[in-house]
Amino acid sequence: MTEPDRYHEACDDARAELAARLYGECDGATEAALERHLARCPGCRSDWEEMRAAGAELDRWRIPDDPADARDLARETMRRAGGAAPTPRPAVAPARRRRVAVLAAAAGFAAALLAGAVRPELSLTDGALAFSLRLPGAAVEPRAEAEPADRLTGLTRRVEELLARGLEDQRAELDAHELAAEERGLRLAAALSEARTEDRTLLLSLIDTLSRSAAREDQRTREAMVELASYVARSDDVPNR
Amino acid sequence: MTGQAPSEEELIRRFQGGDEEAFGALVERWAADLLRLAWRLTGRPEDAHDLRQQVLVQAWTALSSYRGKARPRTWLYRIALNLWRDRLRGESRRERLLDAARERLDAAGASPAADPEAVLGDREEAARVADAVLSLPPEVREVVVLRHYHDLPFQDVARLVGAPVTTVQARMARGLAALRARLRERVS
Repeated sequence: MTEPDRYHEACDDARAELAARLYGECDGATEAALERHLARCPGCRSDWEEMRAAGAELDRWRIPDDPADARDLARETMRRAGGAAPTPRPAVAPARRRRVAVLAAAAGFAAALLAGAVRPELSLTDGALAFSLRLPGAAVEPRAEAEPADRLTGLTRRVEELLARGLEDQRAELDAHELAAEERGLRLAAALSEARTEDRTLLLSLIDTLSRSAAREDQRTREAMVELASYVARSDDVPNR
Repeated sequence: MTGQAPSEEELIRRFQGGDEEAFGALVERWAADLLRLAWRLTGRPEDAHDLRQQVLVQAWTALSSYRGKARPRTWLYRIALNLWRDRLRGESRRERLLDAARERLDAAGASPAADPEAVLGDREEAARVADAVLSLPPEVREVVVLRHYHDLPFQDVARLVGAPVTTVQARMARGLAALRARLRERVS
């Protein structure tokens, strides 16, 4: 008994499968179905021959070997990226815990900005713009340890809601570029770090957006604010997720 | 100790742990493939070098948040595709393609290789094929380049370009048919 032609009157489907076949990506059943179809369809048979010929033609376009020294390329990349490697995550802090700390810090910082308790300062050092944060009467000192996650759970939830609302504008802008969610984070991180002087400004604008809806300041947000201040001051890595 | 070279995933972990040398090792693995990809997408050597550098800068920045959801190579190529698409959006595509076509022979001739003939084979043929590939619409061209030249399975290409596998396979079929037609047209 003759098997039916799965691709009868569905030559477009057959052609798509033939492209997969050309690269060895067909399973046995599809392969057999295509064979049956090709035996009956002169149009697809001709297309298949054309595909094979085109595949062979493509190999003629070869790109010259790259004479660049990878080390030079890496060095140039670092120079353009701004020098120091993005700050690695502390080995003792799991990703979730760190995120909690950063989100909490963002809320605190936003609240502090709103209340005028902390002021960003720009200065010119060795021809480069430097950014720093100051509390009244004292320089911000980095904290040695991250906030314990359990103390910040409630605050984090609130901050996540604020982030969702506060970052709406930025999201809309990224949406306009039809980027997938995962890409947005990459783009944002890249945009922030590509220009060292501008990244802080952008981070501040994000925080400023957030600050418009930030809740009133309290002790915990003040502590978190100090954490974010040290975070921003010492790192190019930004909360991008 | 096995003496085996570390995987790209391992190098990324090292980089995330603060080892800048690991980035150099990654660049060594990525540089040539990245240049080929950029060259076949942009069609111009100078743009290809520029795009590669841009991709590496972005990779440097984003590696700290790499979570291993996609293979490193897929992750890297996605950055390249997005940057290339941004460039396309910034210019008139038609103008760009015409420019690329005009420069095709020159580009092949401007090879930085010590012995371009040995690398390119028949220059004229290479230029003809390059011209045909560069004349494909971007959404078809990226599929052809990723599947044929970079040997990525359709599943991975689909993930990279953000389209269903069947769509990507159909684009490949369309691309191959268009290439063949164009190449035949040139010969006759």
